[in-house]
Amino acid sequence: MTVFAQCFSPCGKYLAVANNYGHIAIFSIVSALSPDAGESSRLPILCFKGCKEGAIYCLTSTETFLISAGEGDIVAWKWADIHNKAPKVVWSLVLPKKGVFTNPEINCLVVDKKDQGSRLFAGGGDNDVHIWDVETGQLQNTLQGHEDYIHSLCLKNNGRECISVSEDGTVKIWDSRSCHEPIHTLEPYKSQECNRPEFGKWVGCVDLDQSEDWLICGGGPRLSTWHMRSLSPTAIFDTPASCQNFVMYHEETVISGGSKPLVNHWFVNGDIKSQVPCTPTSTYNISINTVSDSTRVLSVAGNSYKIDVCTNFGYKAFSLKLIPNC
Amino acid sequence: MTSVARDEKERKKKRLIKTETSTPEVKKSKETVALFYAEEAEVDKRDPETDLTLFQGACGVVREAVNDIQKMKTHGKTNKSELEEKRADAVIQFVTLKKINRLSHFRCRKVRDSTNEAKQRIDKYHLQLQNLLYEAMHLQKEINKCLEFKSKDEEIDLVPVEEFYKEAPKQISKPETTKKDEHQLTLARLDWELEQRQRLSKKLKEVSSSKDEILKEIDTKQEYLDSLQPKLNSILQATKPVQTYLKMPYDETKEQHSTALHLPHPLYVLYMQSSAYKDACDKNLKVTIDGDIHSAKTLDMSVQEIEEDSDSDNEEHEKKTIAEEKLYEHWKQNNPDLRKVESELQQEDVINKWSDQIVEQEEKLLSARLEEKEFERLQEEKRQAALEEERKKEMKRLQDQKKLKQVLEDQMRELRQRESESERIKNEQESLELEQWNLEKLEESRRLKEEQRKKQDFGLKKIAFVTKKKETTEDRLSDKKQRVFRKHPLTVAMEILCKEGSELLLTFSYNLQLHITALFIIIITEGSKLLLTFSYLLQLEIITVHVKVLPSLESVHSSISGSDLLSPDSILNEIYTGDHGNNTPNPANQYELRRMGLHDFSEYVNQVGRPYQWTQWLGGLQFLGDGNPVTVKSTVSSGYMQQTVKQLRKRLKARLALLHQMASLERNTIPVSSNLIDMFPAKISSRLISWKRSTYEDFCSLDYTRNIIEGSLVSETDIYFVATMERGSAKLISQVVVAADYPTVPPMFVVSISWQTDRNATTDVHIQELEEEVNVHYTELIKDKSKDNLLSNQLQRLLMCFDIYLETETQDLSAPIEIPKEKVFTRLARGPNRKKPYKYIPDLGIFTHR
Repeated sequence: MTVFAQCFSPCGKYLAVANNYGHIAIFSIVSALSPDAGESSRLPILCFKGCKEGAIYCLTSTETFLISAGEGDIVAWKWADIHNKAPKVVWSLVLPKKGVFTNPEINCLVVDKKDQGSRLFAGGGDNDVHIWDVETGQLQNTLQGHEDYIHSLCLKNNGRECISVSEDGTVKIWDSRSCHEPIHTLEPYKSQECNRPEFGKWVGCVDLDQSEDWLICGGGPRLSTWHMRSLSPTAIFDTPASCQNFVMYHEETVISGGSKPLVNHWFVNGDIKSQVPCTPTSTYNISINTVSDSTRVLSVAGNSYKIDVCTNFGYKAFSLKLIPNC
Repeated sequence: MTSVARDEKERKKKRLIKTETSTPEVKKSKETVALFYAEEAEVDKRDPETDLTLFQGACGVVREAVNDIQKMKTHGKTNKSELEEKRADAVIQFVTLKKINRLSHFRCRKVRDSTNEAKQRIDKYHLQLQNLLYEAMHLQKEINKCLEFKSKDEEIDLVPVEEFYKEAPKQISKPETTKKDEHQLTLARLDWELEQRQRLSKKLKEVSSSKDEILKEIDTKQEYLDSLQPKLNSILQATKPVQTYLKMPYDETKEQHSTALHLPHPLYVLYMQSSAYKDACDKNLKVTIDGDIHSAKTLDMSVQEIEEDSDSDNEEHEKKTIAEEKLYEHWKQNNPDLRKVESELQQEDVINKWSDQIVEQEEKLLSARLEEKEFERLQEEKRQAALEEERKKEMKRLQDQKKLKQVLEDQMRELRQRESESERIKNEQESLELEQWNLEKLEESRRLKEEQRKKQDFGLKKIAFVTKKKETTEDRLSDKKQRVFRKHPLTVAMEILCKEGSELLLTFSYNLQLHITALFIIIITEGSKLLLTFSYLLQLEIITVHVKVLPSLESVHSSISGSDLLSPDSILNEIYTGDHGNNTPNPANQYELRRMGLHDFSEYVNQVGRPYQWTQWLGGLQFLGDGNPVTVKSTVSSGYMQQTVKQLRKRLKARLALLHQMASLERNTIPVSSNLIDMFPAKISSRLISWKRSTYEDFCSLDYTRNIIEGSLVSETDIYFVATMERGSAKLISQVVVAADYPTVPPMFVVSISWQTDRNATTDVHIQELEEEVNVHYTELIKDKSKDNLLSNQLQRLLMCFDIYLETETQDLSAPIEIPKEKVFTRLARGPNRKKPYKYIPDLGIFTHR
């Protein structure tokens, strides 16, 4: 079993995860953290089928909705329904089809939360970034330009700009309101320091720091930070024999995970701060619950039914077990 | 005073009176009598009061006269006349006094008389009263007696009133009278009861007469059957040349049936059940009994002795009595003669009881009629009880009759069967070849038998020798061990023919002490047999199975890696889940074995055979968790028979199929099922370069198998192989785990690829996906009859996926490309995990993501 996506609920008490069988499972972080937590409190409190067939690759959350996507359509669930243990599809969005044989998946979903959660960005198998208005369900814009499927997305400037990374090895920075060519295109595999031909040129993860001056991305090429104005690599985060599937900035550190059973904590200059062993041999998502201090945890998901939870980020506290009962 | 004296006196008085009255003498007598009576009559007429006053007057006069006379005498005035006068007057007064006296006497007598009379009357009345009182008392007593009288009819269990009114006819129930009169009602009910009972007794007579008839009929039929036997024998005799010519084992089956009587109980159940199953649904099954019948017979007798002889140890001595009891029971169970005698005794008993009952009944009826009037109720009661009993017995007897009938029917059926069989003999000339086989098999089994007997003789001798000497404890221990694992001399062999012409031969033996069945298996491949020999361990009371492989001449598939696929030790592993036949299934044996100093039963498996769970089931033995009573139930056996035979057949088929595949794989060709050839692309560049046998230890020594071992997905009893595949410089090594229960449990592949670097599922997610594709989605590779070929199909898929893995793997573009992309893909990668397109779509010839 592979867990591809995780997402904390807006209240911070629950963790939603999704796996390759299309199950969405809800864990109660509060009860798992309580001092008298037993084995049973680390099992899902609710588990339901999120899509008919295939995997769910990404989850995101607004104040009211949990949105899932992967194989098939983008589907939204109400958190309130989930709390009542009666989840049902509130609305769904369909990717515009390009051809007969194409069956594009969605690898990444982002909501521009600062703008009242009104827009949903999705990137995936059809090589395009689609932008929907959540309120109306209207497809607002489609950003076309990648030559292979999109791995990940991140937003800049309150969603006015959008950054996508793709299997084709490029990082493209878009103006999300125009449907023209991207503003910039970065190609990490062309950089001498980053390139690793044995792993290919694909870029699997991207994130921006808070000042939005620094971009970090990695995948086949080494993980590296790029200065947004000069568009040149500045620091290399070397992970020998391992490709990074996930990266994020967190309070002056960079956290990344990839094809090794490790969670890497870096200083922004590219020095390794610590490497925390984790259960999955390949990690796909690392999530930090920032809602409240009492439930501030870091959870690691990957190709294991166990989801590692770190209360102190330096070591693994316990594992949640995704044993589907639906 | 007497009456005579009184009369005398009275007479004197009368005489006096007569003289005074001076009447003539003649007249006198007449007159006195008359006077006498007159005076008597006079008494009645006179008033006693007046007489009293008269008397007082007279007395007064006398007194006066006396006084006067005295006065005169004293005064001296003696006037003589006057004195005389006075004297005369006084004397006259005496007459009066006399008269009055007489009268008073009369009166007195009269009163006395009347008093007497009254007294007498009173006495009479008193007597009468006493009589009456006595009578009254008697009557009272009678009344009490009557009141206390308990009628016997009250004790008779009568039909309830409502039922009575419902069932009894009007003339008996007479509702118009009985409704009002309780007594009449009871009488009517009794009448009804009597009638009913009479009817029932009539019925009883009828039934007993019909029973007699049936008995007679049975006798005649028995006679007929008896007369049939010589005829049949002569027929058999006549067919003997044909039999020998055709090599029909007909007589043998007969013999076998008689031999079956000497089998231990579990093996007997096994034999009967399996032959029944054979007759009913599976013609391709053969069941025979092997072994030395003579030693079996002697064993039946000697078990007890041996036990007594050998139980000399103190610790054992305590258990001796229990053991003896058990053994006796067992012996009783297993001794056919005794069984027969017992059953005969039982039968006799039943018949005797019957005749007794009939006589009794008749006597009762007779006496009932005689005493009907007086002791009607009493008799009714007795009869009621007897009748009820009778009714019950009637039922029982009818059942017995049914049984008898069934036996008769069975016999008839058997006869018919025999006839048809003798006819069939002629028709079976075509199966001459098959019979040739049988001959060979018989020779084989004879050889085995001889061997076995020799061994047994040797064993017995040894036991005897050792028990006699009893020199050292060691000897005793080994003797004990020997005894523990002693087998019953008779074994049951089961031959299971498969469609492909292969055969499975099972021989069951029974361990008496452990109560388990052991199994000897002999496999003859290719138009050949798997022989299972079931034997019964005498001491352990378990059935064990011994397995032997007899490689046949036709066996073309010599395979190194699959050499032990048909090995007796493993071929029947996990016929049912978790059943490896290593340990005794009889939990009670644990203690017994420990007592003997034998800890690990599995060490002796080679010696005694494997006690699989299902062999116990087939022998009707089912052990519960606490090892409680070993009872032999044929339902257990029949419940598992079909399933087990099916499983065995399936197993043999699967193993033979595996062997085929092994032979081919060793030549580095993958024998893909013909109907699944479309499931793979025409061109696969990777090749299988080696197929070798591996071991569990080797499997465990690999670092990337840790998860699998921890998850207990594999076990030591599985069969391990290593397949090596190659394309260019890339090499794939796959550990192949074939479960004992292949193909129900699919083979598992654990892959490592070395291409520039060494990769496996723990370091490369794409290899994990590859394993998933092969291991999880195996059902696509089973179509119609290709189930047994699953291993090859999976290997072919592995080969195909290896191609995909290499072709989609990112290659250094700067270096010359070693592996070109030959396949057609829609996309190389998909999703966050950059999944590879392992799934082949046969219609389009392209690869896609699952």
